[in-house]
Amino acid sequence: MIRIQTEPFAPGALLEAFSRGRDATGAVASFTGLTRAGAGIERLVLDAYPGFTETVMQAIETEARERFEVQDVLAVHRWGPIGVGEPIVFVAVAAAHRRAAFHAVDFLMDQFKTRAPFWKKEEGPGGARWIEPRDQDHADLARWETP
Amino acid sequence: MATVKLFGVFRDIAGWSESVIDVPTLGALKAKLVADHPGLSDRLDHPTTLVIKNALLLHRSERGDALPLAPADEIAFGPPVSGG
Repeated sequence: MIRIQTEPFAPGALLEAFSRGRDATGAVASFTGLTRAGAGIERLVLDAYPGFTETVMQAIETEARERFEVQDVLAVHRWGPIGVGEPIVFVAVAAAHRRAAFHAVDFLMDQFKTRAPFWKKEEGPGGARWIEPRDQDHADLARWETP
Repeated sequence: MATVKLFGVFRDIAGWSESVIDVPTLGALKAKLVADHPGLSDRLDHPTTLVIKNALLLHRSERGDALPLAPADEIAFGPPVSGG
């Protein structure tokens, strides 16, 4: 399940709810991304395209489900203004065994970082700056390409 | 005619995020956007630019200048994404 929202979320509460009542699950792996402090950065502002952003993220979830033996996926991504230190993205995967859960979380985050339609701006006292995709993000994505 | 949305730095260059523009095709729309906002020149046709019609990403072969735009269509332009 994919969700984008402007409201803050509590990763612990999401993880607890996601993990509850799973008799057939042996592993839940999760990832929480936080807004990192940087020089002159007071907050991030993410632009999203509701209706399109979720469609692209849903296609990535479908790829993960085809690729790994997973039982369930939850991804929550914030947009709008986000303060330093606040959670920005949460991904959890349930699987029968841990390896698939670890790999699926890793895969989902690499794909979201490069392909999910969010446009990120850093704001601080000195002004604002749009962030371009980093070379490292594309290198991370290339890890999942089959030769 | 179509509803046009701009994202990321495109929105800052134009100074708006959504507008209804009376043009018959994608090519005419891009020409009008560049005429109104010269800062968008070179950007709308850039290979990494996202062109989204009615919430579907158009591949490069699908975004020719002759693509017709109907009044109910929503067309969006965004720079390469930087999410996550």
